[in-house]
Amino acid sequence: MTGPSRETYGARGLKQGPFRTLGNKGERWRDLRDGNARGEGKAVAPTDDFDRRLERANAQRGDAPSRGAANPSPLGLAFRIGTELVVAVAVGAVIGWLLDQWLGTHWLIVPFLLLGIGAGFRNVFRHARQMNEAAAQDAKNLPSVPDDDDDD
Amino acid sequence: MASVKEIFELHPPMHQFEIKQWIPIEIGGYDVSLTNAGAFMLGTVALIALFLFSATSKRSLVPGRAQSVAELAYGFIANMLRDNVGTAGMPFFPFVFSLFTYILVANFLGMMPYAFTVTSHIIVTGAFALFIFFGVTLLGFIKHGPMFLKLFVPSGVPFALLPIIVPIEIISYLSRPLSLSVRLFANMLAGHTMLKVFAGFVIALGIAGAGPLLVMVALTALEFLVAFLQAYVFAVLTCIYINDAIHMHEH
Repeated sequence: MTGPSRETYGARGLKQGPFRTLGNKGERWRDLRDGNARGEGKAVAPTDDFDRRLERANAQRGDAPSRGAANPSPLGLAFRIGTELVVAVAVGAVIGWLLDQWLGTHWLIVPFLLLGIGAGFRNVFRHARQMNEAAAQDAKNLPSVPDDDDDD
Repeated sequence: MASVKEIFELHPPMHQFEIKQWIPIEIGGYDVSLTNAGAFMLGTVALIALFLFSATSKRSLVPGRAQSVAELAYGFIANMLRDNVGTAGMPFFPFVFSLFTYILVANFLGMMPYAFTVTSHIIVTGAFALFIFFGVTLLGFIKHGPMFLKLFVPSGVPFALLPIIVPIEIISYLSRPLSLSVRLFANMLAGHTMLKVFAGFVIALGIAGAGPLLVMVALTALEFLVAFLQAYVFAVLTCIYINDAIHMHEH
């Protein structure tokens, strides 16, 4: 692919040489768009589309986390749920076993193993609920998204 | 034709995970030799630094190939943080970005023939996971003080159930570093062992080895996917834990 050389677009290129006119032109385009038009006719600035998209992107980007979107990686989620279910059981058992060692008892491992199993299921339920919430949010958001298929 | 047993005696599948001394160094009675693990860790960091420095040195408005990749990586992690934590998570961008690129490059380096997979050792993944665990806990206490303990008391739970729910929540919280470290290390260990075992079958079976060879090709592709996916999951979970510490979601 042979495109324009990189220097054309660099900050260095804008400062001096023939690109100075490009910089001035850019300013004039901005003036036209903002209503300080010196000429007539509809001027379409090349940066217009970019500005609009940037504005839209900035508006979408809130301060709060937007975890509503559908999970981008189902396989990643599967890995997570699988390990979290198993590992919580092990952690519960190890805590019970360590307490048994420490206190010299022999039965504490049983309730802690059960708690570990509970924690494992709690982890899975948490994921399930988040997926539910995400699905509900998606369903709510769906009508507001314009359907591209209607245009053609 | 060598039997399967002979092949595995000659090339043990677990041999690839052995740590070997490359340059023996001893400081103050401690063995701090450069091992193959240490060398690959340094190599990983050097590769990342070299790539990012060279890719971003030009800073052109229209990015070249290398700069595109660097920008893509930036955007990937920045969006991940924004989606999971919001703008309050951006101070942690350097940490999550370093973590993700390190694990990703270490995993991919491990896919090279004769290479050592740093992330196949639980001491490495465990160190990451414990650092994240203690860091996030500290962050929660700094942000919320003792109120951070409310994370273990879900809202809307009847008082009578609290003696059961609170220990369950605490165990669930404590299982985080273990699940983080075990998932990454076990995936790498199991995947690489499996590749080696199938490779042994290919040699042992002769012409019939074409079957395992086909499986090997598919498994190698799968391993590349897993290498990326595990780095991604590690980074996403770090983001989620940071979010829990900052916002204390009632989940």
